[in-house]
Amino acid sequence: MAKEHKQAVIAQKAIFTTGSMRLSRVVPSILFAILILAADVRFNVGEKVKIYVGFASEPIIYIPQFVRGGWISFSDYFEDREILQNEILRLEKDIDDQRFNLINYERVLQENIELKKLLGYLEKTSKKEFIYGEIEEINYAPKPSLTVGIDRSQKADQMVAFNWTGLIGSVELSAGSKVEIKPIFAEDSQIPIRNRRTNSNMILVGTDMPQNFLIKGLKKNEDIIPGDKLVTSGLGKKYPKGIDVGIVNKISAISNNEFLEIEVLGTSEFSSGDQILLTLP
Amino acid sequence: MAYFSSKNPNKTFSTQLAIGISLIFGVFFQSLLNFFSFEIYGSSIPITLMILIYWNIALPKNIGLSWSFISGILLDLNLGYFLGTHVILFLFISYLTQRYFHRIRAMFQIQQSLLIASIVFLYLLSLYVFFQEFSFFVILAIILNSLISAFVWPILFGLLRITRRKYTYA
Repeated sequence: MAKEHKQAVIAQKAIFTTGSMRLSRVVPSILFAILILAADVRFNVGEKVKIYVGFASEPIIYIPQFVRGGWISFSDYFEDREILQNEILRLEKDIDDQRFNLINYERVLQENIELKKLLGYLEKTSKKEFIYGEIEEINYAPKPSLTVGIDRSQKADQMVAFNWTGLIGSVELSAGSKVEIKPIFAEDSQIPIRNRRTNSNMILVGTDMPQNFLIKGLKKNEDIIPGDKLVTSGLGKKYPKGIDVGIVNKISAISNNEFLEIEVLGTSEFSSGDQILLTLP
Repeated sequence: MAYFSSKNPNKTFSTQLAIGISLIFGVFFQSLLNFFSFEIYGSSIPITLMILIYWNIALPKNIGLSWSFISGILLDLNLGYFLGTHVILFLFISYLTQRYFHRIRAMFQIQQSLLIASIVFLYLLSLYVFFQEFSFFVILAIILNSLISAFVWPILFGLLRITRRKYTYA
């Protein structure tokens, strides 16, 4: 309140107060200025002064031009930057598109490789009936199996299944557009085979472990060595003839037993690839 | 008032320096506006005049009439007017503002702005009446510049007040 009151008092006093400046002080200066003006209008006195001042202040004239030039360079720099950034973004999008195309291309290439291999296996079968399908689901429990999607109009009963690595199993269940494949390494599966080196027939038994088989019932005097290639014999007409199924891995002879225990390493990978060929043997 | 009667040479020098630099800056700025044609019908806001008015109100005893003379001459040279044109106007306005600086100081900001608008209007009008062609649009341009000056005044006042407090008080 006190401050406002003081301000009001000052304002009231100010209305009646004048500064120390008097007209008598300013009149001579104004007269002198009028004299200069008259001289300039009548005799063009200021022209020479302006020329000299112009020379003296010439560098100053360039300052605005310099500033304008600088500003143009500055804005150009950022415009160029923006153009470059847009270009980078466009190229990055192109790269993403190309990566996507490359993935698609690789997928198609893999499909082609698989289909080419499957065509090779088809040549070894009766070629009476065959179906191409794609893996939809891989089951590991309670027992390993594959669910394959096929054309609904075709029947897949009693067919065997190949993927691009080889013979992988047989059709266990066919319902509509879905087929369940039982693997050849299932414990209860028995595959008639022959030794490619000796042409002797034997039975390959599954162990429920992928790529792991046993040969039972071979006597100790049987001609078989590790590395022997085993192919399907076609006996029993369940599997086609001449398909590679495995290589003899280990041969064990138990002293109090007259039979050999032979471990076989399977050549086909059950869950590899996407394409499946179902065919009658 | 103690400051005004001070004979400290350092204070006097820094005060004159602050006044001089601000006025030269005003002349330079006004010349830039002229150079870049930031004008409405040939007239722009008279920054130099407004700076001069501020110093006349704030430090009337320090500024005297010499700075009005110098800044007027510089503006005439830069803007291409007859020598003495701005000098006469500046001297007259300086006289009025120094004479009545107590009353102007006591005004509210809005009153000061209106006063500045009036001074600028008369200043631009006199420049046009005596030295350029006159038309209806010129009047509009002068009114517009006066209004702009009124809006600019509080900002300029604040800036110069900061400058004064920083460089003219020891």
